[in-house]
Amino acid sequence: MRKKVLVPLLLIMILISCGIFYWYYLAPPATFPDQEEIKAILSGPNNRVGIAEIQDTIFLDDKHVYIPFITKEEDHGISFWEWKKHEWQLSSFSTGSMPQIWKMDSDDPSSYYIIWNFHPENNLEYLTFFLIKERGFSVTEGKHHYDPGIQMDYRAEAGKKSYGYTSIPSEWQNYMAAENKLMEERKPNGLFADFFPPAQYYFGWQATSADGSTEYPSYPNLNGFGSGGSSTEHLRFLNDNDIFIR
Amino acid sequence: MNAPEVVLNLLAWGAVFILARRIYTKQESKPIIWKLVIVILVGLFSFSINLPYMDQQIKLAILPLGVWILYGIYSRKNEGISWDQYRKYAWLGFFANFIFLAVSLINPLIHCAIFPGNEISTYLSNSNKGKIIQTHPSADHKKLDRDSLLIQMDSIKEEPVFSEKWYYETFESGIERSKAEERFPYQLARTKAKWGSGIDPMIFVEQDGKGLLISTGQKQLYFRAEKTFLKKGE
Repeated sequence: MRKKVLVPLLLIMILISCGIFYWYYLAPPATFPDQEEIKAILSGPNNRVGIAEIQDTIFLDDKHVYIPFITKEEDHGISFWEWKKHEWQLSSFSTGSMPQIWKMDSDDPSSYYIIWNFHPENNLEYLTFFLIKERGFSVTEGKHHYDPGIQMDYRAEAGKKSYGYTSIPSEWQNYMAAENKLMEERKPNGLFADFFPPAQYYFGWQATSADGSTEYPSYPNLNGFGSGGSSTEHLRFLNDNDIFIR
Repeated sequence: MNAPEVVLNLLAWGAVFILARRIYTKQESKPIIWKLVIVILVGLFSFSINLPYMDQQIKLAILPLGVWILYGIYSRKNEGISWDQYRKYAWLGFFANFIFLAVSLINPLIHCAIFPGNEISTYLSNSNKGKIIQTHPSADHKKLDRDSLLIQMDSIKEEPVFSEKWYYETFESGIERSKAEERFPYQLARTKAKWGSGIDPMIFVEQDGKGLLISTGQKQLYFRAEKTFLKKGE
Protein backbone atom coordinates (compact mmCIF):
# COMPACT_ATOMS: atom_id res chain seq x y z
CA MET A 1 0.00 0.00 0.00
CA ARG A 2 2.77 2.43 0.90
CA LYS A 3 4.63 1.75 -2.33
CA LYS A 4 1.52 2.49 -4.39
CA VAL A 5 1.41 6.05 -3.09
CA LEU A 6 5.15 6.68 -3.01
CA VAL A 7 5.98 6.02 -6.66
CA PRO A 8 3.36 8.33 -8.23
CA LEU A 9 4.20 10.99 -5.63
CA LEU A 10 7.89 10.81 -6.59
CA LEU A 11 6.98 11.06 -10.28
CA ILE A 12 4.85 14.14 -9.68
CA MET A 13 7.64 15.77 -7.67
CA ILE A 14 10.14 15.16 -10.50
CA LEU A 15 7.70 16.55 -13.06
CA ILE A 16 7.09 19.68 -11.00
CA SER A 17 10.78 20.38 -10.49
CA CYS A 18 11.44 19.85 -14.19
CA GLY A 19 8.66 22.31 -14.91
CA ILE A 20 10.09 24.90 -12.51
CA PHE A 21 13.56 24.47 -14.00
CA TYR A 22 12.19 24.92 -17.51
CA TRP A 23 10.14 27.97 -16.55
CA TYR A 24 13.00 29.80 -14.83
CA TYR A 25 15.99 28.84 -16.97
CA LEU A 26 14.99 27.49 -20.37
CA ALA A 27 11.73 29.09 -21.45
CA PRO A 28 12.11 31.58 -24.34
CA PRO A 29 12.09 35.26 -23.31
CA ALA A 30 8.78 37.10 -23.21
CA THR A 31 8.31 40.27 -25.24
CA PHE A 32 10.43 43.12 -23.94
CA PRO A 33 8.50 45.68 -21.84
CA ASP A 34 7.56 48.85 -23.70
CA GLN A 35 9.23 52.23 -23.14
CA GLU A 36 6.67 53.41 -20.56
CA GLU A 37 7.32 50.37 -18.38
CA ILE A 38 11.11 50.82 -18.73
CA LYS A 39 10.72 54.47 -17.72
CA ALA A 40 8.59 53.48 -14.74
CA ILE A 41 11.16 50.97 -13.47
CA LEU A 42 14.08 53.38 -13.85
CA SER A 43 12.23 56.29 -12.18
CA GLY A 44 10.71 54.04 -9.54
CA PRO A 45 11.51 54.24 -5.82
CA ASN A 46 14.39 51.75 -6.08
CA ASN A 47 16.37 53.52 -8.75
CA ARG A 48 15.17 57.17 -8.76
CA VAL A 49 16.45 58.15 -12.18
CA GLY A 50 14.43 61.04 -13.63
CA ILE A 51 14.10 59.87 -17.20
CA ALA A 52 13.40 62.42 -19.92
CA GLU A 53 13.87 60.15 -22.91
CA ILE A 54 14.55 56.53 -23.74
CA GLN A 55 16.88 56.76 -26.73
CA ASP A 56 16.87 53.26 -28.11
CA THR A 57 16.30 49.57 -27.37
CA ILE A 58 19.23 47.49 -28.56
CA PHE A 59 19.10 43.70 -28.41
CA LEU A 60 22.71 42.49 -28.04
CA ASP A 61 21.30 38.98 -28.17
CA ASP A 62 17.82 37.64 -27.40
CA LYS A 63 18.38 37.74 -23.63
CA HIS A 64 20.47 40.91 -23.21
CA VAL A 65 19.21 44.40 -23.96
CA TYR A 66 21.04 47.73 -23.84
CA ILE A 67 18.97 50.88 -23.32
CA PRO A 68 20.59 54.33 -23.51
CA PHE A 69 18.60 57.14 -21.92
CA ILE A 70 18.65 60.88 -21.14
CA THR A 71 17.73 62.19 -17.69
CA LYS A 72 15.79 65.36 -16.90
CA GLU A 73 19.14 67.01 -16.01
CA GLU A 74 20.36 66.21 -19.53
CA ASP A 75 22.69 63.56 -18.20
CA HIS A 76 23.28 60.64 -20.55
CA GLY A 77 23.02 57.18 -19.10
CA ILE A 78 23.16 53.51 -19.95
CA SER A 79 21.15 50.61 -18.60
CA PHE A 80 21.46 46.86 -19.05
CA TRP A 81 18.49 44.50 -19.04
CA GLU A 82 18.64 40.78 -18.79
CA TRP A 83 16.15 37.92 -19.15
CA LYS A 84 16.63 36.12 -15.86
CA LYS A 85 14.38 33.79 -13.84
CA HIS A 86 11.54 34.30 -16.30
CA GLU A 87 11.57 38.04 -15.94
CA TRP A 88 13.11 41.01 -17.71
CA GLN A 89 15.37 42.45 -15.01
CA LEU A 90 17.32 45.68 -14.80
CA SER A 91 20.78 44.29 -14.08
CA SER A 92 22.74 47.55 -14.01
CA PHE A 93 22.52 51.25 -14.88
CA SER A 94 24.65 54.37 -14.61
CA THR A 95 24.73 57.99 -15.65
CA GLY A 96 27.81 60.14 -16.26
CA SER A 97 30.49 59.76 -18.85
CA MET A 98 32.27 56.52 -18.03
CA PRO A 99 32.02 53.77 -20.62
CA GLN A 100 31.39 50.32 -19.22
CA ILE A 101 32.16 46.78 -20.18
CA TRP A 102 29.33 44.28 -19.95
CA LYS A 103 30.43 40.68 -19.48
CA MET A 104 27.36 38.66 -20.42
CA ASP A 105 29.22 35.41 -19.85
CA SER A 106 32.33 36.15 -17.80
CA ASP A 107 34.07 32.98 -19.01
CA ASP A 108 33.68 33.87 -22.65
CA PRO A 109 35.44 37.07 -23.82
CA SER A 110 33.51 36.99 -27.10
CA SER A 111 30.38 37.91 -25.13
CA TYR A 112 31.93 41.10 -23.74
CA TYR A 113 30.59 44.45 -24.94
CA ILE A 114 31.91 47.96 -24.34
CA ILE A 115 29.06 50.45 -24.06
CA TRP A 116 28.95 54.25 -23.84
CA ASN A 117 26.68 57.27 -23.98
CA PHE A 118 28.18 60.78 -24.08
CA HIS A 119 26.44 64.14 -24.27
CA PRO A 120 26.64 65.42 -27.88
CA GLU A 121 28.10 68.76 -26.65
CA ASN A 122 31.40 66.95 -26.16
CA ASN A 123 31.79 66.76 -29.95
CA LEU A 124 33.51 63.43 -29.89
CA GLU A 125 35.24 62.19 -33.02
CA TYR A 126 36.22 58.74 -31.85
CA LEU A 127 36.85 56.64 -28.75
CA THR A 128 39.88 54.48 -28.13
CA PHE A 129 39.63 51.45 -25.89
CA PHE A 130 42.61 49.75 -24.32
CA LEU A 131 43.49 46.36 -22.94
CA ILE A 132 46.39 46.89 -20.55
CA LYS A 133 48.57 44.85 -18.26
CA GLU A 134 51.53 46.34 -16.44
CA ARG A 135 54.94 44.82 -17.03
CA GLY A 136 56.07 42.75 -14.06
CA PHE A 137 58.44 40.09 -12.80
CA SER A 138 58.87 37.72 -9.90
CA VAL A 139 61.57 35.46 -8.54
CA THR A 140 60.42 32.77 -6.09
CA GLU A 141 62.69 29.97 -4.94
CA GLY A 142 65.02 30.66 -7.83
CA LYS A 143 62.24 30.43 -10.40
CA HIS A 144 62.13 33.47 -12.64
CA HIS A 145 58.93 34.76 -14.14
CA TYR A 146 58.57 37.74 -16.45
CA ASP A 147 55.22 39.29 -17.36
CA PRO A 148 55.42 41.28 -20.59
CA GLY A 149 53.60 44.60 -20.60
CA ILE A 150 50.42 44.50 -22.65
CA GLN A 151 48.83 47.45 -24.40
CA MET A 152 46.35 46.79 -27.16
CA ASP A 153 44.06 49.44 -28.49
CA TYR A 154 40.94 49.59 -30.59
CA ARG A 155 39.25 52.61 -32.08
CA ALA A 156 35.48 53.08 -32.32
CA GLU A 157 33.98 55.98 -34.27
CA ALA A 158 31.62 58.06 -32.18
CA GLY A 159 29.18 58.53 -35.05
CA LYS A 160 26.13 60.77 -35.07
CA LYS A 161 24.38 59.19 -32.11
CA SER A 162 25.45 59.97 -28.55
CA TYR A 163 25.43 56.29 -27.60
CA GLY A 164 27.10 53.23 -28.99
CA TYR A 165 28.55 49.82 -28.32
CA THR A 166 31.23 47.53 -29.64
CA SER A 167 32.24 43.93 -29.08
CA ILE A 168 35.78 42.98 -28.07
CA PRO A 169 38.25 42.59 -30.98
CA SER A 170 39.26 39.01 -31.74
CA GLU A 171 42.93 39.67 -30.96
CA TRP A 172 41.98 40.76 -27.43
CA GLN A 173 39.87 37.63 -27.12
CA ASN A 174 42.82 35.47 -28.13
CA TYR A 175 45.06 37.10 -25.55
CA MET A 176 42.46 37.06 -22.76
CA ALA A 177 41.54 33.42 -23.34
CA ALA A 178 45.22 32.35 -23.07
CA GLU A 179 45.83 34.56 -20.03
CA ASN A 180 42.70 33.34 -18.21
CA LYS A 181 43.65 29.72 -18.78
CA LEU A 182 47.14 30.33 -17.44
CA MET A 183 45.80 32.05 -14.31
CA GLU A 184 43.51 29.09 -13.71
CA GLU A 185 46.46 26.67 -13.89
CA ARG A 186 48.71 28.79 -11.71
CA LYS A 187 46.32 28.58 -8.77
CA PRO A 188 47.89 25.98 -6.55
CA ASN A 189 45.47 23.70 -4.74
CA GLY A 190 46.55 23.00 -1.22
CA LEU A 191 46.14 24.06 2.36
CA PHE A 192 49.71 25.13 2.94
CA ALA A 193 50.49 26.92 -0.31
CA ASP A 194 50.40 30.70 -0.22
CA PHE A 195 48.75 32.23 -3.18
CA PHE A 196 49.09 35.84 -4.21
CA PRO A 197 47.02 36.36 -7.32
CA PRO A 198 49.30 37.81 -10.00
CA ALA A 199 48.47 41.15 -11.61
CA GLN A 200 45.59 41.02 -14.04
CA TYR A 201 44.84 42.97 -17.17
CA TYR A 202 42.33 45.81 -17.17
CA PHE A 203 40.39 47.92 -19.64
CA GLY A 204 40.89 51.61 -20.30
CA TRP A 205 39.50 54.30 -22.55
CA GLN A 206 40.29 57.66 -24.15
CA ALA A 207 38.07 60.03 -26.07
CA THR A 208 39.22 62.27 -28.89
CA SER A 209 37.07 65.26 -29.75
CA ALA A 210 36.69 66.92 -33.15
CA ASP A 211 39.43 69.45 -32.28
CA GLY A 212 41.88 66.63 -31.49
CA SER A 213 41.93 66.97 -27.74
CA THR A 214 41.98 63.87 -25.54
CA GLU A 215 40.71 65.59 -22.42
CA TYR A 216 38.08 63.89 -20.29
CA PRO A 217 34.74 64.61 -22.00
CA SER A 218 33.16 66.38 -19.07
CA TYR A 219 30.02 68.00 -20.47
CA PRO A 220 27.63 68.29 -18.71
CA ASN A 221 29.65 68.49 -15.54
CA LEU A 222 27.39 66.28 -13.48
CA ASN A 223 28.29 63.56 -11.08
CA GLY A 224 27.33 60.20 -12.40
CA PHE A 225 25.77 57.51 -10.28
CA GLY A 226 24.47 54.05 -10.79
CA SER A 227 24.04 50.59 -9.48
CA GLY A 228 25.69 47.62 -11.03
CA GLY A 229 25.97 43.90 -10.81
CA SER A 230 29.13 41.87 -10.85
CA SER A 231 28.94 41.46 -14.61
CA THR A 232 29.71 45.10 -15.38
CA GLU A 233 32.93 46.99 -14.93
CA HIS A 234 33.91 50.62 -15.47
CA LEU A 235 36.75 51.28 -17.86
CA ARG A 236 39.62 53.37 -16.52
CA PHE A 237 40.07 56.79 -18.09
CA LEU A 238 43.65 57.07 -19.40
CA ASN A 239 45.72 60.21 -19.95
CA ASP A 240 48.36 60.37 -22.65
CA ASN A 241 50.83 59.96 -19.77
CA ASP A 242 49.39 56.58 -18.86
CA ILE A 243 49.98 54.93 -22.21
CA PHE A 244 52.73 54.23 -24.70
CA ILE A 245 52.36 56.39 -27.78
CA ARG A 246 54.45 55.74 -30.86
CA MET B 1 44.86 16.00 -22.32
CA ASN B 2 47.74 14.68 -20.26
CA ALA B 3 47.99 11.21 -21.81
CA PRO B 4 50.63 9.63 -19.51
CA GLU B 5 48.69 10.76 -16.45
CA VAL B 6 45.43 9.33 -17.77
CA VAL B 7 47.06 5.97 -18.55
CA LEU B 8 48.80 5.77 -15.16
CA ASN B 9 45.59 6.64 -13.29
CA LEU B 10 43.71 3.93 -15.18
CA LEU B 11 46.44 1.47 -14.19
CA ALA B 12 46.15 2.57 -10.56
CA TRP B 13 42.38 2.02 -10.55
CA GLY B 14 42.99 -1.34 -12.22
CA ALA B 15 45.31 -2.28 -9.35
CA VAL B 16 42.68 -1.30 -6.79
CA PHE B 17 40.11 -3.39 -8.66
CA ILE B 18 42.40 -6.47 -8.74
CA LEU B 19 43.16 -6.17 -5.01
CA ALA B 20 39.46 -5.82 -4.18
CA ARG B 21 38.70 -8.92 -6.26
CA ARG B 22 41.37 -10.91 -4.46
CA ILE B 23 39.90 -9.97 -1.08
CA TYR B 24 36.41 -10.81 -2.30
CA THR B 25 37.26 -14.32 -3.62
CA LYS B 26 39.02 -15.23 -0.38
CA GLN B 27 36.12 -14.13 1.83
CA GLU B 28 33.73 -16.70 3.22
CA SER B 29 30.78 -14.46 4.02
CA LYS B 30 30.49 -12.18 1.00
CA PRO B 31 29.54 -8.53 1.41
CA ILE B 32 27.13 -6.75 -0.96
CA ILE B 33 29.11 -5.58 -3.99
CA TRP B 34 27.70 -2.05 -4.44
CA LYS B 35 28.28 -1.43 -0.74
CA LEU B 36 31.89 -2.53 -0.90
CA VAL B 37 32.49 -0.14 -3.79
CA ILE B 38 31.21 2.71 -1.63
CA VAL B 39 33.31 1.49 1.31
CA ILE B 40 36.47 1.65 -0.84
CA LEU B 41 35.61 5.16 -2.01
CA VAL B 42 34.89 6.38 1.54
CA GLY B 43 38.10 4.68 2.71
CA LEU B 44 40.03 6.87 0.26
CA PHE B 45 39.05 9.90 2.29
CA SER B 46 42.01 10.96 4.41
CA PHE B 47 43.80 13.82 6.06
CA SER B 48 46.84 14.49 3.92
CA ILE B 49 49.64 17.00 3.56
CA ASN B 50 50.82 18.50 0.31
CA LEU B 51 54.47 18.35 -0.58
CA PRO B 52 56.19 20.05 -3.51
CA TYR B 53 57.65 17.64 -6.05
CA MET B 54 58.96 18.51 -9.52
CA ASP B 55 56.84 21.64 -10.14
CA GLN B 56 53.70 20.11 -8.69
CA GLN B 57 52.04 19.17 -5.42
CA ILE B 58 51.83 15.60 -4.22
CA LYS B 59 49.49 14.39 -1.47
CA LEU B 60 50.83 12.29 1.37
CA ALA B 61 47.94 10.64 3.25
CA ILE B 62 48.43 10.55 7.02
CA LEU B 63 45.17 9.97 8.89
CA PRO B 64 42.62 7.42 7.62
CA LEU B 65 39.53 9.56 8.22
CA GLY B 66 37.37 7.43 5.93
CA VAL B 67 38.30 4.23 7.74
CA TRP B 68 37.34 5.81 11.08
CA ILE B 69 33.97 6.90 9.77
CA LEU B 70 33.28 3.41 8.40
CA TYR B 71 34.35 1.85 11.69
CA GLY B 72 31.90 4.13 13.49
CA ILE B 73 29.10 2.95 11.22
CA TYR B 74 29.85 -0.76 10.98
CA SER B 75 31.42 -1.76 14.31
CA ARG B 76 28.12 -1.85 16.17
CA LYS B 77 26.07 -3.46 13.38
CA ASN B 78 25.37 -7.20 13.60
CA GLU B 79 27.67 -7.59 16.59
CA GLY B 80 30.72 -6.70 14.54
CA ILE B 81 30.11 -9.16 11.71
CA SER B 82 29.52 -6.31 9.22
CA TRP B 83 32.79 -4.69 10.19
CA ASP B 84 34.56 -8.01 9.64
CA GLN B 85 33.11 -8.11 6.14
CA TYR B 86 34.02 -4.55 5.15
CA ARG B 87 37.17 -3.81 7.18
CA LYS B 88 39.61 -4.91 4.50
CA TYR B 89 37.90 -2.81 1.82
CA ALA B 90 38.03 0.29 4.00
CA TRP B 91 41.78 -0.16 4.47
CA LEU B 92 42.17 -0.90 0.76
CA GLY B 93 40.60 2.50 0.13
CA PHE B 94 43.14 4.16 2.42
CA PHE B 95 45.96 2.12 0.88
CA ALA B 96 44.85 3.30 -2.58
CA ASN B 97 46.06 6.77 -1.56
CA PHE B 98 49.58 5.41 -1.68
CA ILE B 99 49.03 3.80 -5.07
CA PHE B 100 48.02 7.22 -6.36
CA LEU B 101 51.00 8.75 -4.59
CA ALA B 102 53.26 6.34 -6.47
CA VAL B 103 51.54 7.39 -9.69
CA SER B 104 52.19 11.06 -9.00
CA LEU B 105 55.84 10.28 -8.24
CA ILE B 106 56.34 8.33 -11.47
CA ASN B 107 54.19 10.52 -13.68
CA PRO B 108 56.58 13.52 -14.03
CA LEU B 109 59.47 11.18 -14.88
CA ILE B 110 57.52 9.54 -17.69
CA HIS B 111 56.17 12.90 -18.82
CA CYS B 112 59.74 14.26 -18.99
CA ALA B 113 60.89 11.28 -21.03
CA ILE B 114 58.12 11.61 -23.62
CA PHE B 115 57.89 15.41 -23.59
CA PRO B 116 61.32 16.85 -22.74
CA GLY B 117 60.83 20.11 -20.85
CA ASN B 118 63.80 21.83 -22.47
CA GLU B 119 62.83 21.22 -26.10
CA ILE B 120 60.80 23.75 -28.02
CA SER B 121 58.90 21.03 -29.93
CA THR B 122 57.15 20.05 -26.69
CA TYR B 123 55.46 23.43 -26.53
CA LEU B 124 55.17 24.18 -30.22
CA SER B 125 54.38 21.21 -32.41
CA ASN B 126 51.84 22.69 -34.78
CA SER B 127 52.74 26.14 -36.05
CA ASN B 128 50.74 25.95 -39.30
CA LYS B 129 47.85 27.93 -37.86
CA GLY B 130 50.13 30.16 -35.79
CA LYS B 131 49.32 33.84 -35.82
CA ILE B 132 51.27 36.82 -34.50
CA ILE B 133 49.25 39.20 -32.35
CA GLN B 134 50.84 42.50 -31.50
CA THR B 135 50.32 43.02 -27.78
CA HIS B 136 52.34 46.23 -27.36
CA PRO B 137 52.59 49.31 -29.64
CA SER B 138 56.38 49.69 -29.20
CA ALA B 139 57.01 47.21 -32.03
CA ASP B 140 56.39 47.16 -35.78
CA HIS B 141 53.63 45.17 -37.43
CA LYS B 142 55.06 41.75 -38.14
CA LYS B 143 53.85 38.41 -39.44
CA LEU B 144 54.98 34.91 -38.58
CA ASP B 145 57.66 33.52 -40.90
CA ARG B 146 56.60 29.86 -40.72
CA ASP B 147 59.41 28.55 -42.90
CA SER B 148 62.05 30.19 -40.76
CA LEU B 149 60.47 28.71 -37.63
CA LEU B 150 60.21 25.21 -39.15
CA ILE B 151 63.79 25.18 -40.44
CA GLN B 152 65.19 26.33 -37.10
CA MET B 153 63.06 24.08 -34.84
CA ASP B 154 65.94 21.71 -34.02
CA SER B 155 68.50 24.42 -33.36
CA ILE B 156 66.43 26.64 -31.02
CA LYS B 157 68.05 26.45 -27.57
CA GLU B 158 66.79 27.04 -24.08
CA GLU B 159 68.33 29.90 -22.13
CA PRO B 160 67.69 31.20 -18.62
CA VAL B 161 64.84 33.64 -17.95
CA PHE B 162 66.40 36.92 -16.78
CA SER B 163 63.15 38.36 -15.48
CA GLU B 164 64.66 40.94 -13.16
CA LYS B 165 67.21 42.15 -15.70
CA TRP B 166 64.58 42.44 -18.44
CA TYR B 167 62.27 44.32 -16.14
CA TYR B 168 64.79 46.97 -15.10
CA GLU B 169 66.52 47.20 -18.49
CA THR B 170 63.50 48.88 -20.00
CA PHE B 171 63.65 51.70 -17.46
CA GLU B 172 67.40 52.31 -17.65
CA SER B 173 67.14 55.47 -19.70
CA GLY B 174 65.03 56.97 -16.93
CA ILE B 175 61.79 57.11 -18.89
CA GLU B 176 58.34 56.77 -17.37
CA ARG B 177 56.84 53.36 -16.74
CA SER B 178 54.19 53.66 -19.40
CA LYS B 179 56.61 54.98 -22.07
CA ALA B 180 59.08 52.12 -21.88
CA GLU B 181 59.45 49.77 -24.83
CA GLU B 182 58.40 46.18 -24.31
CA ARG B 183 60.93 43.40 -24.83
CA PHE B 184 58.24 40.84 -25.75
CA PRO B 185 55.63 42.80 -27.74
CA TYR B 186 54.00 39.90 -29.64
CA GLN B 187 51.95 36.88 -28.73
CA LEU B 188 52.16 33.73 -30.85
CA ALA B 189 48.56 32.49 -30.78
CA ARG B 190 46.64 29.51 -32.12
CA THR B 191 49.53 27.05 -31.91
CA LYS B 192 49.37 23.78 -29.99
CA ALA B 193 51.73 21.90 -27.72
CA LYS B 194 52.59 18.29 -28.51
CA TRP B 195 49.53 16.02 -28.43
CA GLY B 196 49.04 14.23 -25.12
CA SER B 197 51.32 16.52 -23.15
CA GLY B 198 48.41 18.26 -21.44
CA ILE B 199 50.37 21.52 -21.68
CA ASP B 200 48.58 24.68 -22.76
CA PRO B 201 51.32 27.26 -23.09
CA MET B 202 51.15 31.00 -23.65
CA ILE B 203 53.92 32.16 -25.98
CA PHE B 204 55.41 35.64 -26.28
CA VAL B 205 57.83 36.63 -29.04
CA GLU B 206 60.82 38.93 -28.52
CA GLN B 207 61.06 42.21 -30.39
CA ASP B 208 63.85 40.97 -32.68
CA GLY B 209 61.80 37.86 -33.51
CA LYS B 210 64.51 35.47 -32.27
CA GLY B 211 63.33 34.76 -28.74
CA LEU B 212 60.28 32.91 -27.40
CA LEU B 213 59.06 33.28 -23.84
CA ILE B 214 56.82 30.34 -22.96
CA SER B 215 54.60 30.27 -19.87
CA THR B 216 52.89 27.12 -18.65
CA GLY B 217 50.88 26.84 -15.47
CA GLN B 218 53.99 25.70 -13.57
CA LYS B 219 56.97 27.54 -15.04
CA GLN B 220 58.37 29.85 -17.63
CA LEU B 221 60.98 29.05 -20.27
CA TYR B 222 63.00 31.12 -22.69
CA PHE B 223 64.17 29.88 -26.09
CA ARG B 224 66.51 31.64 -28.45
CA ALA B 225 67.10 31.12 -32.18
CA GLU B 226 69.83 32.26 -34.62
CA LYS B 227 67.58 33.96 -37.16
CA THR B 228 64.33 35.85 -36.78
CA PHE B 229 61.02 34.11 -37.45
CA LEU B 230 59.09 37.28 -38.05
CA LYS B 231 58.66 39.04 -41.37
CA LYS B 232 57.26 42.36 -42.47
CA GLY B 233 53.50 42.61 -42.02
CA GLU B 234 51.05 44.89 -43.77
